Amino acid sequence: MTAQPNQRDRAAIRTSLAWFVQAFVVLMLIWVALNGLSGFRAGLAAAAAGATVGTYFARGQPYPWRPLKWLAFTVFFVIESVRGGVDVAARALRPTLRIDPLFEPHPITIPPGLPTTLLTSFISLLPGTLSVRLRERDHELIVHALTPGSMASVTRLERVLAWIFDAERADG
Amino acid sequence: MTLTDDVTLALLLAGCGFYLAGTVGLLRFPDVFCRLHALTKADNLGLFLVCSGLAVHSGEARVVSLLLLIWLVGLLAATVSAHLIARHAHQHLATSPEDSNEQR
Amino acid sequence: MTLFLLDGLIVVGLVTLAYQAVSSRSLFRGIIHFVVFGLTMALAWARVGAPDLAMAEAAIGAGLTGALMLVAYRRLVEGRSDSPADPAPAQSRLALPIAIGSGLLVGVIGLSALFSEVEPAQAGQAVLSELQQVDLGNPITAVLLLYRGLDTLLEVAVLLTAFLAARAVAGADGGEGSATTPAPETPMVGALLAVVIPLTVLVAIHLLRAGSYEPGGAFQGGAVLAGAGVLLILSGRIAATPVAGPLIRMGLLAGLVSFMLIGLVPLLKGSPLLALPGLWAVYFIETAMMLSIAITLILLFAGGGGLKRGRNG
Repeated sequence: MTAQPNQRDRAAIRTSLAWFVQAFVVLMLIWVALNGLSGFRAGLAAAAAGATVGTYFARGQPYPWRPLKWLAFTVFFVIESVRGGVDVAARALRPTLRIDPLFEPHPITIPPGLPTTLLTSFISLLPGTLSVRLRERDHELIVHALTPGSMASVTRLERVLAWIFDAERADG
Repeated sequence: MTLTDDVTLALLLAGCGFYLAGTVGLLRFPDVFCRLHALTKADNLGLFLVCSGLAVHSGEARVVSLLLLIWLVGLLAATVSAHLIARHAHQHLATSPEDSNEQR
Repeated sequence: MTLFLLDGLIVVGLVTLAYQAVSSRSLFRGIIHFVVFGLTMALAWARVGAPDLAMAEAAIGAGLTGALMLVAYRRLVEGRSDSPADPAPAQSRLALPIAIGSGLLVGVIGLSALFSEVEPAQAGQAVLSELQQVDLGNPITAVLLLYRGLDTLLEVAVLLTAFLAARAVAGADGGEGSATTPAPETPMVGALLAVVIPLTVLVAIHLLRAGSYEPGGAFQGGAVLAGAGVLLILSGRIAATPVAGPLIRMGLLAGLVSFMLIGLVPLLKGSPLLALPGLWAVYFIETAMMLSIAITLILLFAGGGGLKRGRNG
């Protein structure tokens, strides 16, 4: 069941290549957005340099190509982020401080790797939750919630991420 | 003032308002975790509103894409720093004799 | 009226932050105040219409210097382990006279600048009119490289000298007790780096290129690139070594050497020294300078003579 060493190497090279291509394309897009079509050759050089340095020192996991789903996610995220900001601002400015903070270990139901990383990053931006510690061995995430009801955000985000990555959720 | 200016002004003021709320939260909330809540969420919304206001004001595609990039990178920086600080504080909680429930 | 208020706020902020940075009992607080002071100074530069300086101040003064000071702080604190808050050092008797003297000096200079007659800036006008013929849009870059190239050459030499001086002070100690934290067992750092590093390289090159016609240039690009290097060091992807390898040495010298060589060539053809032969020379030298500045700043932060791939790379 264990992959042979050269199989692992080949998989690693494929991931690196996929990441390089993704980084290159995104960087080119950003360059064109910043400079228009002038200096296109400089942009190619810049994108190549950026993708090379990135792949060599800090390779990431390539994102799956699901443009519509990512767009829907962006809308979801912006709405939730606004709710989160308004919620915490209201709590901060209200005369009596109505918070009931607690730590809650949350068993993660989406696969490890990129989905879990995205979960950990985005949970801090959603209403009432802050990611504190990712325990990879137990596959759980310790979340700090402002009120006990905030934990619903985590489950919601997990559902959306599972939908984007077409992943099975561990609890069904 | 034109409509664009009005919208810009409203967005910028709202953004500053949220930054102010974040700072008030920083001062009022009892422990480092709650303060991180205030800083990540309120400040990020403030950033979003300020960037939107500036985007509306300029109207050029180039400036808008630059502001979009700034917002996204600002989000990423905020959320990762918050996570790292929370993780560090949590580890310290675990090793010190104080019980986390006492930190109200 | 509102602009006056804004300026007043900035000034008050600068003075308060400077005072806090110097007089805080906690060293850590002083450092943080200094970083915020750098950012407010960048705001002040932007306010007086010097965006190039504002960018350089934000990147180097607030960003990189802040990181350097925090690393130095950690080494100092680690050396002493849990000591209680130290009593504040006894205030020197010279402190008050020096403070008053400095304040008077700044006041006198500021007032004389306010009340002196503004003569028409002749050199600036000449630069702006020459600019049409040279096809460089940013007068700052034109001044830095075409009209006052010697100053810029000497600045790059100073940077290299500063690095050598830092190495001399650090001694043979390269890399031990370096800035790296133990491997953080969270994938968040990796995810952050994966996004930020390529973007930083792109932004640095964009700033470099943009310096031809709008605020930007080699120093700003180099500082941004150094920021990426600092991130890589802090997360262990790059580590310091006692001695620099050939690649790093070439990078360190690239700016100075290329500027000197290209500057000497006109002498052979009878033109004055540093009369750059064309716009391509400007671009080449700026790129080389950006690399040198970035590598110098990264090495200063890493505290070693050279760089290699780290444990987490």
